[in-house]
Amino acid sequence: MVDDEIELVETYVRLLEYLGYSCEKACTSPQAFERINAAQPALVLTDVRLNPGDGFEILRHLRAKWPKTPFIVMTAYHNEETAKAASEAGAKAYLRKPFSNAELASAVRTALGTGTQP
Amino acid sequence: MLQEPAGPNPKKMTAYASPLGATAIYVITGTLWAAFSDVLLLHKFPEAVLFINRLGFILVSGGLFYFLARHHAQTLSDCVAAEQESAATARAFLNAVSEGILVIDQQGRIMEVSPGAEHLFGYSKAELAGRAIEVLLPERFREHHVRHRNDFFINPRTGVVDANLAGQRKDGTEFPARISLSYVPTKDGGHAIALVTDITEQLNTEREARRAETMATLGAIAAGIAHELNNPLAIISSRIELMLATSPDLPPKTHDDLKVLLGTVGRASNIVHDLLALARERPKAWERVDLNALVSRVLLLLGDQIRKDRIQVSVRLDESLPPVSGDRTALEQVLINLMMNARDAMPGGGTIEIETEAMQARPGWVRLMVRDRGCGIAPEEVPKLFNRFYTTKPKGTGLGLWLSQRIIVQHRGHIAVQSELGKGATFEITLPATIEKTPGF
Repeated sequence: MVDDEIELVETYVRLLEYLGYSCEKACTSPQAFERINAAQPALVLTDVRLNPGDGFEILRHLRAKWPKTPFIVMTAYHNEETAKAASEAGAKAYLRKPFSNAELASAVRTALGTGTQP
Repeated sequence: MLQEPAGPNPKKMTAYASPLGATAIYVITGTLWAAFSDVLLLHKFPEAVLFINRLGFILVSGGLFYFLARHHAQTLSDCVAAEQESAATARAFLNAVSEGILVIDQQGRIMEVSPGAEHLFGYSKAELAGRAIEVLLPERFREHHVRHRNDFFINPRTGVVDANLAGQRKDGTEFPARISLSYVPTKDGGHAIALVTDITEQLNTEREARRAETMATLGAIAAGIAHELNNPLAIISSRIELMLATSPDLPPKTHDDLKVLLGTVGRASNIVHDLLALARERPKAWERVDLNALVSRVLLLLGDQIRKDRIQVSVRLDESLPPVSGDRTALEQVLINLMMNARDAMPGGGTIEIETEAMQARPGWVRLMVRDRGCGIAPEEVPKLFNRFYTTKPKGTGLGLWLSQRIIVQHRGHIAVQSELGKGATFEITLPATIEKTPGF
């Protein structure tokens, strides 16, 4: 779970852990690279705007190393360009903040159901 | 219409300048003079040859006179034609000027009125001729204008009058005007020439440009604030949901409080959503939009959401509906807004009716109607419905219908509502169609 707002990361991780998933947390691109490389997660959820870095940078890294790992893009700065970029990058879901817990849970289940473990 | 400029009378000039006539007059007069004088001379000097010589001289000089006169007449004729053409061109230019041109004498009387001025003020030239120029001004300007006019003739200067002026039409209506003055000295003391321009459109354009600039600035600010609010709202709503889901033993009052908090966060999210919609409002590349397809798409988007609220949708689409030209996303937003309002008007559930129609009474226009049988709108609230920040809903932002109306107006269309308290509301959108519907579109 990658988001530059630590409270949000904690919130979503609590939800996902409540649902039975195990999560790694990151707030920056370098942290995200490190966690992804170490944990090789089944699914990556990333915010678009990070400080430093951005979500698409992480996705490029992910696609280069584990092209079949599914990912979900989240953003508080929705616009058509970002949505299109997420779609073209192959995101399994594009979530506009604020979204409900049910939306997040549904997106995670769908992404994991169609994705393949690295 | 301005008078035709005074010029030479072509008929008179032809009579005077006829080379044959002038030559004949010269020859006859010369011959009579020679004969008369030579008869007297012959009386003293009997050599008759003198008369014959004189006659020869008269005939030769008459020939020369003829050619000179013909040349002169041709030149005069060319001048007359050129002058007539020039006058016609000047008249055509004058008639083509859409601004009003008025000629005023030193007493402020209207001497000339161009067709543009007739059109601008709604008076004919005959109605204005000789009247004081102040008749074309609103009452509040007249007294001041008389002083201004007198000053102008004392110290004439050419240029645009630097004042917020208005013209008054024959029917009493006013229009903002820009006046450009010129002074023409004449033998009777000089005239003022006023070029009057209706600047209503110019002011509207300037106002619209300023408004667009303000809206762009406000939009950028709104977007920045709205985006910054999304993360905290996400945290609050997610944590509340988590608390409700993971704490089944919460005291009922705490549970209720959390539900209220969640609802309030939802309201804040709606405000952020509307602010962002406002911020995104900008001209886009238009495309042909099939309103029937748009209705189907919106129903697909909202289907689950409204079904949960026990809302059914009855749709009647006109298969012959021509497309409209516009921003598909914006028009979708309008329909979504209207459907959400209809849903909110029927908290116990009900049916939303949607219709499209190629208008028979207004060829080239299409109609989109959204009707609910809900609580309706009080008559005193109807005129305020499209006002910014006006809402009848406890959780409304007052931006939805305002934004919808703006979008429809940008599409050169119209949105109207009919409602009766307790009997529901009907929103009707009319839009200009583009071209006839083509197969496959």
